[in-house]
Amino acid sequence: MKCCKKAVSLLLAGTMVFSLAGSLTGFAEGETADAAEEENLDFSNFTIKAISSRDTKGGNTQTIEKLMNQFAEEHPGFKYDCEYITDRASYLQKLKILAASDELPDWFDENPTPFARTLVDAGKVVNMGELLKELDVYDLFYPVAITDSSFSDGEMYSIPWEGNAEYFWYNKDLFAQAGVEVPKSFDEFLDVCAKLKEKGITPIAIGNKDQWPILRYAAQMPFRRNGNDFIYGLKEGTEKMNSEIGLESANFVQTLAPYFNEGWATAEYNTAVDLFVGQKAAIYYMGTWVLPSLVDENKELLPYIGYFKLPTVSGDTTTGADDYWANSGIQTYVTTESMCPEMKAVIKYVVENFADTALSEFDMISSMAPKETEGLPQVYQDIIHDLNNVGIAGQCWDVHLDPATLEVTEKEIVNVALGETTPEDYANKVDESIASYISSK
Amino acid sequence: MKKKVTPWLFVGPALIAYLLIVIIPIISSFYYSLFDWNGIGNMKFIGLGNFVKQLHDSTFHTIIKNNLVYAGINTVMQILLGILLAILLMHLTKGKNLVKTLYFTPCIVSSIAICQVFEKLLSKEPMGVINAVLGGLGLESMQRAFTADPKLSLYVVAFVEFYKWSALYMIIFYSAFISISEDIVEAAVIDGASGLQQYLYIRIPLIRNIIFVALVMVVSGTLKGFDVSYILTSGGPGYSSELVATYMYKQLFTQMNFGYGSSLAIFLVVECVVVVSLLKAITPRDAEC
Repeated sequence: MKCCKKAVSLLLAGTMVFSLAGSLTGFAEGETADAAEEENLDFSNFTIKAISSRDTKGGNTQTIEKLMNQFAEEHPGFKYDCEYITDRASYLQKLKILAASDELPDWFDENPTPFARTLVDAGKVVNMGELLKELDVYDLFYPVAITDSSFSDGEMYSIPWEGNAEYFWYNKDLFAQAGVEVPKSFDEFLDVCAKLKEKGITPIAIGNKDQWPILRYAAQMPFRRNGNDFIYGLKEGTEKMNSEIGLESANFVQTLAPYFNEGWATAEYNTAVDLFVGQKAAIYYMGTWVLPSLVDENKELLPYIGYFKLPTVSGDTTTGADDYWANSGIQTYVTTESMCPEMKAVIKYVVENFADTALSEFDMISSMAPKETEGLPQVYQDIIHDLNNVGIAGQCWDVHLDPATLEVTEKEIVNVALGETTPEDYANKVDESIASYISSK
Repeated sequence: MKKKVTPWLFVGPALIAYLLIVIIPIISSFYYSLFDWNGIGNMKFIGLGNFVKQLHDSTFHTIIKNNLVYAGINTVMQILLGILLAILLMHLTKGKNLVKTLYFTPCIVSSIAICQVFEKLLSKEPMGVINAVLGGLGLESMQRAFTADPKLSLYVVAFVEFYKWSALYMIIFYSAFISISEDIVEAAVIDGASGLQQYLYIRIPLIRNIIFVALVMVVSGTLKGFDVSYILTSGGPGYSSELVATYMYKQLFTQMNFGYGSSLAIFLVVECVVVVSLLKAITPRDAEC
């Protein structure tokens, strides 16, 4: 019996040794294959030309630059040559000129806008969803980042880098001074603003020089009523701005405008941040990319600052408290012309290492889950939790509307807010512009 | 034969440069204005469709009005203040060069820098110098965010443009004044002309050809006005300080309407030619250069 047991043990041990050896051999074979494949790649004189609209000191830029430098150290001859144009409007103009003259750089920043769609239709950019799957890194991304960087048909053509949630940041001291609580609904939100104003406090800080902040307020009510269907329908012409929901949105902006800081229409981003951090305004709606301005030296939120998510509305709604704006910031597109095995190797390297480098070295929450979140400041942990659990993520109007309609919408919604035009006139102009865009397609 | 060729040898290089950087782009703009094109896809020929669109574009009509107000304000203020400053300069006995240099500085400083300065000066939150001074004088009711007020933004933009360029005309008029022969002025003095009369009847009429040139420069320059509006207010709030050139630029490079944007460029050319021709028509022939 003993002998039999011994025989079984030996057999099991033998099997284990064989299977271990087998798996090790398999692993080694895979590694060898990868290494061999990489050995065949030629990085001498391989340069990625890029153009970016990101802040050169931002975590995003610094992470990419660092990873590119690391890659260059490991692969002599490789270069990442990026031109930064931090003024977004100027950047977009340059990008469009480059596209029109067929001189797009290998990498460029853009969102899934109608302009990007034309590039896709013209076969100028790589299907990034398919490539990321081929490189086995697709699953590293948060679902919200995948959705945000995809067109409304679900096709993904860009690499998302940032993980952003958008919150209403508020000043706890100023709220206490006005005797108000964190609002849960937009009705309560308007009450809070009125009470803050009565106390002589500027209720909301907003810097609209970049034009999109007021647009986000305009998008909030339709999102609560109809989710993203409103903007999807609007851009396709099946939904109208001159509808109950569209006019409700314009009226909401007009009601809200008296609560904004003076000069908001042309105020810069930094002016609004300064007003809020300097405790001169009580509420500031912004994405988590503003976090570095709101935390102390230990990366904890300043003690007088709190945040709440997009309020709900009474009546018919299709989205709830866990549905709000969360996105992946500005993404990167790669041109079809530049695609080659070397390019794939660079993309795989950067994507695989991005999340941890961004978080550990540049305090940036990326669109990919980091391997380790223990020991992170509470606010970072909360945001990562939110990014993992956001329900329906609001889609940005400035990404979905065609450039002509976007210009009309941005300009006219400011006129509505300032009382220079009526919500109906605004709505008609937007609808006319969309109709004109659709008929010209 | 030699006599016929020689002048062309001198004019030729400038003419070629003019053809390359002015005439050919105008012709090519006209060509593009006949198409509906987003810069990437196929070009669709629509004939004069973009020019017809201009007739129905209510935003464009608002912008033309803005541009005329902008050009009007600048023409009057730059020419009048230029003459006034030149006269004052004529009577300065000391520090003339210092004054000239100081006044001329805005002309050579970039528009970006000037707009940044005015943005801070005119701001309400945070409080800029102008609003702080108004507050200090007890004029709180006049305090406002000047660049963000749709009723004021166009005037603010026009003022900044005027501030930037008025000293250029001061220098031009000053140079013209000092080039007048002293004999003529002395004859007027002997005839008993007062200081004011010397300017009204002698000096200013004698430089009217220079004034005409300055007028053409300032009118065509402001009809094409771009930088101050684009940098300071980006044409806003809404379209309140939008000008034809900024609208054209946005149509071309923001909205990717290369056809419509090109038609606006042609409008700008025609507008400048018509206005300058009108100026020429209403100016006495001996004032033209």
